[in-house]
Parts: sequence; C-alpha cells; structure tokens
Amino acid sequence: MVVCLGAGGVGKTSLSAALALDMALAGQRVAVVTIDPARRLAGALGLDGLGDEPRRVALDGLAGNDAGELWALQLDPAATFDRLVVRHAGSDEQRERILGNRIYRHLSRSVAGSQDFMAVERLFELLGDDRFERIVLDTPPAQNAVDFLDAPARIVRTMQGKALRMLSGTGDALGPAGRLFDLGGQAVIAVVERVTGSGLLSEIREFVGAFEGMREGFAERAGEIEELLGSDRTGFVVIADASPAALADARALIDRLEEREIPAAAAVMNRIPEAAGPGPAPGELRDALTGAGAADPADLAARVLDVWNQRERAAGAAAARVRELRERLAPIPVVTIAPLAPEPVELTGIAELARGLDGAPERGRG
Amino acid sequence: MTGAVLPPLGRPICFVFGKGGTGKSTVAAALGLAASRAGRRALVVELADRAMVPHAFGREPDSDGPTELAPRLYATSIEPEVAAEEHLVERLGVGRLVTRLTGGRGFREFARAAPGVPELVTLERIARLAGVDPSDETADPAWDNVIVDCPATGHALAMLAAPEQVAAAGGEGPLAELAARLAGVIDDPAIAGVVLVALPRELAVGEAGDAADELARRGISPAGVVLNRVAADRFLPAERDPLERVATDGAAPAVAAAASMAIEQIVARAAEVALRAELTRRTGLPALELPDLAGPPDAEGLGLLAERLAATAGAHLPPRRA
Repeated sequence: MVVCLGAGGVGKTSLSAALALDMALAGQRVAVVTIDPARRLAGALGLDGLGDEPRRVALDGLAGNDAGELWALQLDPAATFDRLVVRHAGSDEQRERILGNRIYRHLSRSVAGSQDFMAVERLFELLGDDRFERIVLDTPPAQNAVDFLDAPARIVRTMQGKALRMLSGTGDALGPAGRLFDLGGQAVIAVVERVTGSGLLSEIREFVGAFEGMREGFAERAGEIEELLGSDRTGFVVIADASPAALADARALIDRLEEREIPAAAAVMNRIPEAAGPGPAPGELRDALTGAGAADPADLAARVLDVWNQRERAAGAAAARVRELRERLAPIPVVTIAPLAPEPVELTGIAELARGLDGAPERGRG
Repeated sequence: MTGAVLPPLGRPICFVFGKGGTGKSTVAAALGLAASRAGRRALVVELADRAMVPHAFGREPDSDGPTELAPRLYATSIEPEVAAEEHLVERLGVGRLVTRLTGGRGFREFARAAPGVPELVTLERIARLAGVDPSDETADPAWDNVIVDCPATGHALAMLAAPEQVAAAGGEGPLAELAARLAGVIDDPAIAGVVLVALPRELAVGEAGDAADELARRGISPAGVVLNRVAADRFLPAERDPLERVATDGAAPAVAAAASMAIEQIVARAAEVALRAELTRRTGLPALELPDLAGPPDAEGLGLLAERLAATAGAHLPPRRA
C-alpha cells in the first residue's frame, strides 16, 4: 500500500496514477484511490465519471502480455462514511436516525479531516478486496499536508468529544468532575441554546444519543487505521516540486513521519528541469540562424541564448534543492521527474511519467 | 479614492479562488497592492495562520492587528475554527466561568461540530472588515477593499455556501439570523466577487472551469479570472522555421540543442494561448495574464504583478451586450 503525500499543485494526483500504472505494467493488480473535488484523476486517466466503485482502466497499447490490472476510483467521503455507519449500527432504526441527522451529515460531509479519515477508511475497505494486490492512495488537498496523518484521531475525538456529549446533556460524559461540570454544562447548554436556536441542540442531542453503542466500534476502527498507517504494509511517498514552498512542506512531512518512526519509502521531486550543459558559442548559433534564413539572426540568437541560460539557472537551482532533500533523506531514494510538456492528462502522459519513476515504489517498503 | 479601479476591485470584498499551487496568495497580494496604489485602503486576509503575504513583503506578522505592507496595504489572518470559538465565547453570558469549567477544548470541538459555524463567523468578520455587514453600526469601514486568500477550491466553495445552507436548514436564533444576513451580502454582486486563479496547465484550467460552473449553479458569476505564471512571448511565429532548420540540419550539437529548446518554448507558449482560450470559454470572462516571476514572490515581483493588473484592467471590461 502506498500513500502519496505532498503539497497542492505538485502533481500528486498524476504521480499517484503513474505509480499505480507503473506497478500494473510490472504485472500487479493495482487500485488507485483519488480524493479530489475537481475529479482530476478522471481526466488524467482519460476516464469520465470516475465513481466511488473501482473501475478497470484499459491499458490498450501500453501493456504487454505480462501486465497486471489498473483500477481507479474516486473517493466519495460521504458514501464511505455512510457505509461505516451502516456496518456499525446496531439496528435499522439507529442507522436511519444517524444517517438522517443534520449533525452527522455535517460531520461526514464537510468537516476538515473527515475526508482524510474516509480516505484511509476506503483504503481499509479495499485491503479486504481480493481483486487488488496493491493500493495507491492520493491524499486530499490540504493547507497542510501533514494534517492527513492526524485525521483519524482528530475526527474520532470530535465524534466522541466531551463537548458534544456535554451539550447533549448526557451525564456520563462529565467524568469525575461530575457535579461541578454539570452546573457548567447546564449553563453552557442554556447559552448555546440561546445563540444557536433550539433546532441545533436537539439535533446534537439526537446525534449523540444515536451514536451510543457505536462509539466503541468507531474507536476500534480508528485504532486499526492508525496501526495500518504505522505498519510495514504502508509505504509513504513524499511528493514535491522544485519550489521552496513544496520543499518546505516535504521536509515537514518527513519530520512528522520520523516522529512517528515511519520512514518515508521514497520521495519524488516532480518537474525538475535537467541541466543542458554548456550552451552553444554565440557566433556559431548566429551563423547557423543566418544560414537558415532568420530575419534578424543576431537578435534571435541572443534570445535563444537567454532561454538557454534561464533554463540552466533553473536547473541549477532545482539540482541544489534535490541535493538538499537527498542529504536529508539518505538512504531513502529521491526520484526526480523531468517537466512534461504538455502536462500529462491522458494515459499515455501518465505512462511517460511512470517511466520516469523507474521502479521507485518497489524500492520502498510495502 | 483616486485612479482607475480594476473591475474585481470595484467590489468591497474579493474572494480569490484557485487550485492548490496556482498562486492564490500571490494574486491576492498583487490585487491588494494594485488597489492600494489606486488610492484605496486594502486589506489582504489569509484564512489560516501562515502569514505568507507578510512574508512575501519581508515582514513578520503583527500580533496586535493588521500588518502594514505598503502605503494603504495591510494583511491579516483569520483562522475559521478559532474565530468560531471566539464568537461563541464572546456571546456567552457566563463567559469566563464556563470556559474554565468546560476547558477551552470543549468549545473548539463544539465550534467544529456546529454546522457552518466556522464558515459563518469567518464571513461575518470579512463583512465587518469591509463595512458591509448591515448589523454593524460602524459608519466608516476601515477598508475599501478586503481581498480574501481562500483555501483550495472545494473548501472555498463550501465556505461561500455556508450562509445559504444554514439558512435553509431553518431554525431560529442568532446563528440562523446571521446566516440569512450574510447570504444577502455574499450573493450581492455589488458587494462581493470571486476571482478565479488558474495556471496555464490543463488540470488547473479544468478546475477553474469547474469552480465557475459551481458558482453559476448558485447564481454567481466570477468577477475576474487570472491566468498566473504565463511564460513570456520570446519568439515570433515566423522564427519557428529557421529554428527548425537549425535544429535538424546537422548544426553543431549545442547549436541544434539550443534551437530545439527555443522551439519547445514556442510550442509551450502556443499551448498556453490555447489554454487561455479554454479558460475564457469555461468561465465566460477574458483571463487577465500575469507573468511567471521565476522564483518566490517578493515585494518587487508583486509590484510588477500589480502594475500588470492595473495595465490590463481595460481588457477586463464586462462583455458588451448583443
């Protein structure tokens, strides 16, 4: 299982697809999960209407006889959350009460972090699916990519939270501080009631009531998910490009992984321009352009050299950043990918990206 | 107020939307700078505690209030969840006592769980900064332009949808009232507008188009579209032929390679022009182009972008009626 982490805009979705394709072309049965409101993977894989269920991607023209299978799906956090509720609900009645509750609908559909939690939950579901040997997970866009790692714990905390239970008026949540809290709790309820209007509180109460008995199942699942993320079965691939911001995010991610004693399996630096070496002699270039019939060969030659030098500077700066990340990560491999023009949005482009990856995931764990 | 004002800046509130990595913060800062140079008092609001905009100007954020970045240009940040918590605590009759009894975290969790509260409270603060909250008595707003550096598209759309959703859920009380009040503000094209930011890349253009569609479903049309990090036009179309000949006709390897590199630029540039047309088709507005700064934005680079924004304002008039 491979989890791709990185800042927005570094090509994470395309690279997740490329990693999955790389494995599929090497003979494995792979599913790639993307989580993205703009449905970019659908575009990148040349698929329309990618849904919550895995769909087989046709590898026509790319794969030999020994190729495996590539499946793709788009995470639907709400549908995944609903399935989780259905699985854990003790009765039909409990299930319906939760699914119809406004607080539940909010928590499952829009709270920051529920997407992350559901991404991992979906991963869990797919692990039990015999169709796939490997799963590649693209991660949700986030202000802060490292938030992904904390999401399961965070959302479970909210759902089990003292605040919700206190607001619901369930006394058992008040703990040892019992009576004192009870007083405070009553005051809070009175005030919140005043601020929010009565509809909201009664729904919170209903939600908490309906959730009684499911809490343990949820906490267990979150525990399993955390364990899975920390186990040998999961490899994290950190993705960045040559921009300082993406690189800073990558470093923060690596730090956070290390804090958890989970080394990254690999890092990929996308859109790294290659150095072209020493440029042509200006006179020679001008003469060649004159011979080729250019209208103003001297001026054109100067602009061509400008482009060359600019590329050299960009390549030099990018190389320094690659070196920096390599030093930081050694002995973990850092793979670089050259910029593709045009940007890969078709399966052939993804395949080209996959060739650039050169077996990177196989060198990782998992 | 003096000078010409860019159409998106003609509205007190400007929400800057875009896919991650498109340079939303940079565009927000440049819009702010353009507004301030036109004589307006401009505030750039980041919706997270990261201070990217002050850092671009080489400033550390001021903890006491908005950070001054340039004459009439300031930056601040709002963290929606913290704002929600503060809002709830502020309105608590029993205030401090309850906070102490329940622990600060209790409110954070409630603020998180209460549907739409962080989004509503954030929008309310933005409306007050812009002086467009009808319940706010302050006659003279501190800012002519409030420019909001929004989170990635999906989250930003959810934020703008919050007032309508909370209002639609019914119920009474101050939150429902706040929602109804804000819905009138956010949907008023004389008050608030959305600027969509894209890069000349197919996926980013697609996402900007999707965002425009989603806004259209809510009856909002974008106030402006920015195509960021556009490469400079270095070659003329007629120069491609001689370059092709040099690239293929047995010139010295370095000479041929340089010609190929120039051709690559011409091809990439043509692709960008096509993407700009696609962006215009999807969003219904001509895209305002900003150059690639080649490096992280600094005060000088942002100045350049602001200049460009002001200069292209003429190309950004609303479409003529048929």
